[in-house]
Amino acid sequence: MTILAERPDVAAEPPEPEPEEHRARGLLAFATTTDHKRIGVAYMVTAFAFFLIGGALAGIMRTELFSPGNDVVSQGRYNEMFTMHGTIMMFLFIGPFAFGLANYFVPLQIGARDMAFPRLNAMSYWLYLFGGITLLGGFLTADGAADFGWTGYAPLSDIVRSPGVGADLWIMSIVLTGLSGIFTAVNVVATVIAMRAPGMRMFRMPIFTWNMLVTSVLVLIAFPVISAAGAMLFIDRNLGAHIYDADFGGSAILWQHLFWFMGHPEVYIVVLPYFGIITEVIPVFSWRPVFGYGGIVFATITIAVLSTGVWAHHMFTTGAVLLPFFTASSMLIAVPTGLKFFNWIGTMWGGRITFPTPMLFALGFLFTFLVGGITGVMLASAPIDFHVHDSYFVVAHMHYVLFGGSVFALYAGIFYWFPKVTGRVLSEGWGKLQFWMMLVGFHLTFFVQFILGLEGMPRRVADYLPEDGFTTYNRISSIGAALLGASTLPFLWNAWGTYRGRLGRPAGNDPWGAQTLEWYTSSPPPPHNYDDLPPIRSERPVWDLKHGPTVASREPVTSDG
Amino acid sequence: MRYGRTVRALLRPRGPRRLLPVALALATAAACDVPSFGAPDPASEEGESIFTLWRGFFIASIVVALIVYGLIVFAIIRYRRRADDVPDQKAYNIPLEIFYTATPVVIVAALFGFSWVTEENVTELASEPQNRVDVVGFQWSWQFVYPDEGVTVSGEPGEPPEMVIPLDEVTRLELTTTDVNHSFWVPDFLSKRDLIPGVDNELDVTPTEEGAYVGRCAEFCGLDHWAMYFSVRVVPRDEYEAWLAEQRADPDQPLEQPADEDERGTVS
Amino acid sequence: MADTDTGREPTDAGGDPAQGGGTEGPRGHEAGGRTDDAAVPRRVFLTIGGGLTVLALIYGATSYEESGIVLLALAAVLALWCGAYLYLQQRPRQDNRRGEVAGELGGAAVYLPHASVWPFTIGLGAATILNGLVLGTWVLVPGVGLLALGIGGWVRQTRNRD
Repeated sequence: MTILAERPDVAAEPPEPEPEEHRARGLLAFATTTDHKRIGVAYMVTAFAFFLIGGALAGIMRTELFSPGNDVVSQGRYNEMFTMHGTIMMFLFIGPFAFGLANYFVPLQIGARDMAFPRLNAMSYWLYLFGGITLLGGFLTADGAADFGWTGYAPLSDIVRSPGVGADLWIMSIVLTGLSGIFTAVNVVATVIAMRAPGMRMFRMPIFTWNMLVTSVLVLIAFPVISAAGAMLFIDRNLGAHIYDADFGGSAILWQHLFWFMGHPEVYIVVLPYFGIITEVIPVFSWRPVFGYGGIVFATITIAVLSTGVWAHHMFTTGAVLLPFFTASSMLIAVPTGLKFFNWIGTMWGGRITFPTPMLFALGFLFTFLVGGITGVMLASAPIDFHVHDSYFVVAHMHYVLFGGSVFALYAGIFYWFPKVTGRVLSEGWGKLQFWMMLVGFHLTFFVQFILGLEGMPRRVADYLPEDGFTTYNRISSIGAALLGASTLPFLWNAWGTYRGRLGRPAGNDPWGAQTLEWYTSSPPPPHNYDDLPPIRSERPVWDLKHGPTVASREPVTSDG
Repeated sequence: MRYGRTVRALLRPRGPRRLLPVALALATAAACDVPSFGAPDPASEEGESIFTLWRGFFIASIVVALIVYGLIVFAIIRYRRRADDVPDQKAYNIPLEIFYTATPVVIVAALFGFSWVTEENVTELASEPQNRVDVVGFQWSWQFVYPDEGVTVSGEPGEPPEMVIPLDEVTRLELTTTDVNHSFWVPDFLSKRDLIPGVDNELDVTPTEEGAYVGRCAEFCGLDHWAMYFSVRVVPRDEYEAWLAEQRADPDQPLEQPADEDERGTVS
Repeated sequence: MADTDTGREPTDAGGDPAQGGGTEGPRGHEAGGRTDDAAVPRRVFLTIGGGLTVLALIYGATSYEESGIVLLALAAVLALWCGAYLYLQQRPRQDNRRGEVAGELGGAAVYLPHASVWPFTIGLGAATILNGLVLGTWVLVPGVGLLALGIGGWVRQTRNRD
């Protein structure tokens, strides 16, 4: 692609395509692409592959916990599994998938040709991929993969208690994926600030883009901290330092502070993009605008600020943190999240709602995330946390918000945007089957875990005793997990079949009757994204094109508009 | 304004709607015929305090969930697409938005207030506890040292140690470890506290019911973390004295702390 | 719930633009341009930075723990720094502020390089170096080579505006 003329007053023409003989093919084309769309798809496909790996690990764990008594894997292997399950899901799946969506859709939603730094974008992807491979490499080492939990608490993660090289590979993979995230964040911020089409004012951007902007700021705040903490752990392990070593004047609890200062913003990093998806989907299938757009932007920024100030609610039982401060901040963060909930309901209110698969997943998200959020407020209360901290109550809460929240929203996003990316709409029948299997499977798996935690089952246990009385609920949970895992199969069949043309239907530019800018261009978009742009006078330019200006004009429409 | 009428209708229900709060209360009570609300029956004073707080949160959560679920279900039924006309495109309602921002703040403030009071209550350390047990956690069992009584109870993986403490008295637990993080959790006391190298935690327990209560390690500490069981037996004072005497007379009583770190942490 | 429902457009009641009151809101996203759009990005950063400063101050005053205050202060500095940079970098916008005109694509004058192998090279080089720190010199050295190659190539490509 050649560069456009450097005269901004000239309307952009599609650049001349690269001559046939210079265009790379196949794998080389992939290795050298800087097109945000191809990179976005690469992120999403890679992330989904990691999701399947992490899910398989979970399946093995739930099989192990079906009955008391170790049958399926040894204790050591089990510990590796929950460590890698958590690390893969948090660092290699749910975050990168969101970055992939952002890569693909932020430029489209703001009317740009690409991200601000296309090569940096590509580099982020490769750092992520190689970081993931580094992590999985741990399984191939003699002592196995890291096995101290995705939280890597010192001193369990020091060289004495975790001598294997899998632990060092874990650290390196976090540094690599952290770098990847930081570069992507920089790219997203620069793109949003500098690459918006004329008329695309900040407060006309879709909420998904707004959320990616705020997520990126959180990434910039959080990821350097974990890279530093990881580097310190590395030199403790390999160069004889004693930063986290209490025997030599270091501080074991420092690791917890550093980790959770990253860890808590991290969970908002992996949930805010998905709130953004929900805010895209619900208006479209309600035929209404986003309710309280300004409120949602305000709420998102508030969540970002507060999320940086709640980290030690993961440390209530250490006896070393200021309990009321963190109880207060952690409870306060429920307010902007609740505001979003009411705005989503307000968007549906008075609308004309239909229920294709994206909307089903959005509704599944609303029902499920609410439980996660409410139990979050419970956990924010330090005395309650004294009982349920580090128990299956927390495991249930986190999966309600991460799976019931982010993953349901992720599928809403996939079903919503698949037509734009591929030109074909996914099959509704298979989509609905997947949804109901997922919904039932999910609640079966995780609701009983609240009870298990309250009754006294700690987390990260490779086994339990028959006399504990945990068996029945564990069995229900494991059966649910099987159903939940199985629900992936209709999706894989749907995605492959639709992509191949056997399922689903062709999509035009706008198969859903949607509102935001990306639905103006073809499905899939041309390499330069837009051949031309519609007028952008509100946060839903495509709706305006179809139904007349959304804004009650208070000033004359300009003559060349 | 239409919304005003709706809000007024909710606040001053006529006819059958007046029964709504009553119905809600009954439904909640019925749903919670499990008196424990999922949590164990507290066996200590601190536990009772936490349980009361938990029960309040639980009820508040049910109410909030019913309201929000109610709104969602109402919306998806009432506003299902039946005709093809463009609906009202009103995209904001400032008074309403302020209302549903401010109300959660008030609710959260109340929840915070109750939490803070309970937290002060249960973390408070008595000026003169009647008993004291030093809890030493290690990979992968526990040792309970009674420094004023000259008694030590040690466990090993597969042989959970038992801590005996007297009923209705304050026992101070001093929690220490020299290897990795652990956490001392007795679910029936509804409380836990971590053992962290370099941090000396103290916890007061005032048991209110006799019995034997299982304890588990609640901070992942390696291979046999799941098997780091222990138990706490609460007995009246006289039985406690008898048990102490028995322990002192026991020839198997170790005279010193278990050996240094080289011996601990071996893979079992 | 027919699947064919999706994609159907609602029937407009005469296309009256005033119907529904529009999506104007208190945040100034109306077309009237009352808010300074160019200021919004820096305000986002400054708001976040300001909020973090408040948190840091409260935390510093009430807690007895050192690492948290440092982390919060650094986070505040980061956000304020970005906001300050944006403030200092104000330049007149090229696109029309009212901008209802169907106009050019965003970032029309920005250099957007096409295909490049250097991101892959640098990514692989960095990963090899970090793995080399764990696995040994025999991995580390090729990694350094790759990284140098990648950086060189990248810089050269930028210089040539390829």
